[in-house]
Amino acid sequence: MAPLKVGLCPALTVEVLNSLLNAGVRTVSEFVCMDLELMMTKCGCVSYKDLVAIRKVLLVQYSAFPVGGSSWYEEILSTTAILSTGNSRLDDMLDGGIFTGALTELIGAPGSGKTQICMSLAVHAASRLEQNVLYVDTTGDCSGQRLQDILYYSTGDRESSTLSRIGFRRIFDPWQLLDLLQKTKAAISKQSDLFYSQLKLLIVDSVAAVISPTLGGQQTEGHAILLNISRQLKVLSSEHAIAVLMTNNVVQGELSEPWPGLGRSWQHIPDTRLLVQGTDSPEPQDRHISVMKSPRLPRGLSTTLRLSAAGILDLHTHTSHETQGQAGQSTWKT
Amino acid sequence: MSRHVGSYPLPPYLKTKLLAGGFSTVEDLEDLKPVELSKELKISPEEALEILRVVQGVQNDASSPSSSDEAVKTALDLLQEERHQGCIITFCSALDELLGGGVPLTKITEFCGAPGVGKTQMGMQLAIDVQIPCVFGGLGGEAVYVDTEGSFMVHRLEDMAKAAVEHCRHIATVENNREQLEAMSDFTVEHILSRIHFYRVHDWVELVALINILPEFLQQHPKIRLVVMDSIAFPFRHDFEDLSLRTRLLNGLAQNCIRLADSHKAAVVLVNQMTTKMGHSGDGQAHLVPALGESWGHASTIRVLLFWEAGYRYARLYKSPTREEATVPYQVTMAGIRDVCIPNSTQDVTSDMSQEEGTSHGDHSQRKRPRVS
Repeated sequence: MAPLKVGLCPALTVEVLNSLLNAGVRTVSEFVCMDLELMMTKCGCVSYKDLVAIRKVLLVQYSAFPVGGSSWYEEILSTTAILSTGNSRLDDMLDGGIFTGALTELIGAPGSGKTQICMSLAVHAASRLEQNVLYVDTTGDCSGQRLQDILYYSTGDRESSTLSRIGFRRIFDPWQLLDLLQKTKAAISKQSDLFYSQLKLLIVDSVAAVISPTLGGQQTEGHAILLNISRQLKVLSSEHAIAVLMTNNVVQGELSEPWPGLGRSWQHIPDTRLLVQGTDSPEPQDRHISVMKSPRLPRGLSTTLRLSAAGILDLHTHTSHETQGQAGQSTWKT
Repeated sequence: MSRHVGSYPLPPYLKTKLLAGGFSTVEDLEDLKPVELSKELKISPEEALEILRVVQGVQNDASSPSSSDEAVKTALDLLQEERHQGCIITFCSALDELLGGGVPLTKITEFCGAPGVGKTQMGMQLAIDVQIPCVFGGLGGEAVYVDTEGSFMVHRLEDMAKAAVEHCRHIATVENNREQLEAMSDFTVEHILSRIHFYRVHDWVELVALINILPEFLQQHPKIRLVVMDSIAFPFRHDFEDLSLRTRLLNGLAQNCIRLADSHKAAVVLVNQMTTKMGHSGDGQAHLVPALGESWGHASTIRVLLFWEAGYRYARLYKSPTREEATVPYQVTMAGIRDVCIPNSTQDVTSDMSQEEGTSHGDHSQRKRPRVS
């Protein structure tokens, strides 16, 4: 909380402040929480009336404002956007796509396709939706070549200029991530950089990779870092209407069911949590996606996607000539 | 909202003091002199100076255009960078094709497999191949080899190096390329051996310590393009009681590896063992999965499983952000890792044949092998 300063309110003069400091009352929260009579006896020269007046002013200054439900609803309507994922089945399941102002988390085992979904969404937001994307890669998994391939197979667009809508940053420790989030927030508020003023999607792949090295063992600081990062992400998403998409590991729960990594306190952070799993079907590229947590959707809702050359995006139909010309270079069978 | 002091890399006890003193955001610390702060919080002037340096230093960075390393690139820049990076070939064209040209730089590639399937051979082969001179389309780099198991055989390495030198000399003579012939004078068995920096690590403490000093070593030897760790599992699988400590160390290790790979444009190759897992897929059968647990699976960018089937060795791409899952055969010969079919004089025929074989075998084995996830 903020420290007490002269000028916070008229009654708080230098004299009063000094006697308060002598009594050990240094911050606004200490002042507000302390019993007034006790405070009066501690700093003798201040009158009870003054203390009550100061407290009233401080409470008014530092309290939150109530907002009516209807006007809040109006505001939400005008600021929230729904970013389509580019896959009609996933969009159907998610009620249109991923929401701005909310944190969406993908969890899954290694190789389940979390990064593919992230890259697909980044490409879709940059190409079809024409929004800017900030991609934070903490594992080194993101590949420019793959982004271009997804772009090509989903839109038929050879032009890589769409990729310049995707900001990219590799980060390997939590402090760098906090720095980046802070700078992003500052850049958005400044409104000088066009990239940041049109930023609609932030992807962190994976959030577990940077946080988990600080957790476990006898460390307590990791927990503080985790909460700090989650708070920054929440503020960024809700104040600047950005959709945040993160990936996380799975661990085994008590009944060996899949469970999000990073411990109990992280479980509450994302608004929507989606579980990505392989399927038993003969198609090795099929992925089963189910809702584990959501404020809007029923739990357990699920759908099946297929990873293809275009990630999870719907394939663009090429002329046969084009496809053949590409076959030599293509890494994914269409 | 200005930044909370909790989000700065400061020691926890100083953070506690700052918060108790009423300094919770950067704004509260603005225009404050170190002496004032030290008086206010009853800490030493040095500590106060350190706090202000950290907090205000970061603040200054935000306002001024930061260094290129810190800046946000675009995906287009990333694509351009990737196009200029090379790959380390394996001398097995089917495997190269599987990986998209070889083992990529700036990424972590993990080879997992049962004993005797050729993991160490793969590590040694890559340590040689990273040195192939640029005129042959190689990287002309050096390698760091970290041996935790004591399985590194220098005689074997010599054999493989001889074969690699012979191979390159053959190309140079056939093509009669003056540049290539000149490069051969610098590509001999002795040179190859001298460009492999070998570390013998005996326990996990040594391994963790080594990972922390490797960035410095790579700075002094800028030509290093490959770091092999053979194996990552061994020091962590034995005599390790505190499992949460193990998880944390491994997670930290993974982050250090990827940071190393990214900042020095090197490939990091991790060799991992296999462990038995009792059937959780419902069939009640035990099957082999990579060791070190599920969360370690996220550490590597590319994961390749090496396994035996019907007397042949196969490599299965299990996880990759850029390539599709597939299985290809390979073999370990006297000369090192090679394609299964005997290489013909025309390169194209070889790769086509092995590819065909790879896909047919791949489908076969995919059905037979249970999924490991």
